[in-house]
Amino acid sequence: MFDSALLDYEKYKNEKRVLHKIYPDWPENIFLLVGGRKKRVVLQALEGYLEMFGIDPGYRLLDISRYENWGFKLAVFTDKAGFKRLAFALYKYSCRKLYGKIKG
Amino acid sequence: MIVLYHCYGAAHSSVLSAAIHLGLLAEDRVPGIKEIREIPFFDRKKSEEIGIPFFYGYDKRGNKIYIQGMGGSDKIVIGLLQDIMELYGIPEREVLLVNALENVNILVRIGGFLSRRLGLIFPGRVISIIGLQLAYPKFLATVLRVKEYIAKFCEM
Repeated sequence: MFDSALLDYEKYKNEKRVLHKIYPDWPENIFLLVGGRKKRVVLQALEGYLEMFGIDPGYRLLDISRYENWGFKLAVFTDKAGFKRLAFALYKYSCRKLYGKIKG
Repeated sequence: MIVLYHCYGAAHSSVLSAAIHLGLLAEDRVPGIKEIREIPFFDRKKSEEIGIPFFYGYDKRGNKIYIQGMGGSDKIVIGLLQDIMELYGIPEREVLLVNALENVNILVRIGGFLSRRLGLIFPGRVISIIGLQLAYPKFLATVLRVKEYIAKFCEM
């Protein structure tokens, strides 16, 4: 897939995963898809790649990005700035707030 | 094997590379404005289509040639491709990614922006074609390297 003789793709090899499988032991296949800033591009690429390889997984897509609040944005920012513990606390706080919102 | 030429919007550089690969453009000279303008899909893809891989044709060895615009999200889109391939057990050697954007010059970028983003099709198209003509030897060299790689791969 990556040929150094053609172009330098080494930088992509150690990149974070985009499609995360969560709860591997569950009978249902549940994945988290990281959309980044250009969500539409990534979603179109997902559909296109599945078609390119002739795969029909019959998946259902749930867009949870609309639930994100300011806490998540701040957490991402502090995470990138290197304040890992603060970022973790903010993620935790944001998730609790979100959980409360969904439940109540 | 699938050869995927990718760039920003799948309108100019990836289309030109795929056209050279399929023998639609001459390898011994720089093609004229009309020849480049008439390449299938040249300066046609809309911004809304960024992200979709498009089938461009089969080469002489039966490899599938695709073009794709990644809209500057190369890392995420390529990561997604890797994850899908790993998930479905598709071997890495089945896909060859070629970044056509590395060959473009400032004229192609300006022309592409005018034509695709601002809708100034005539001046944008002319500027991007001139840019592509100037960078044609670089595109040709990349495609020849790709073909060489595929030939070696097929012999293995």
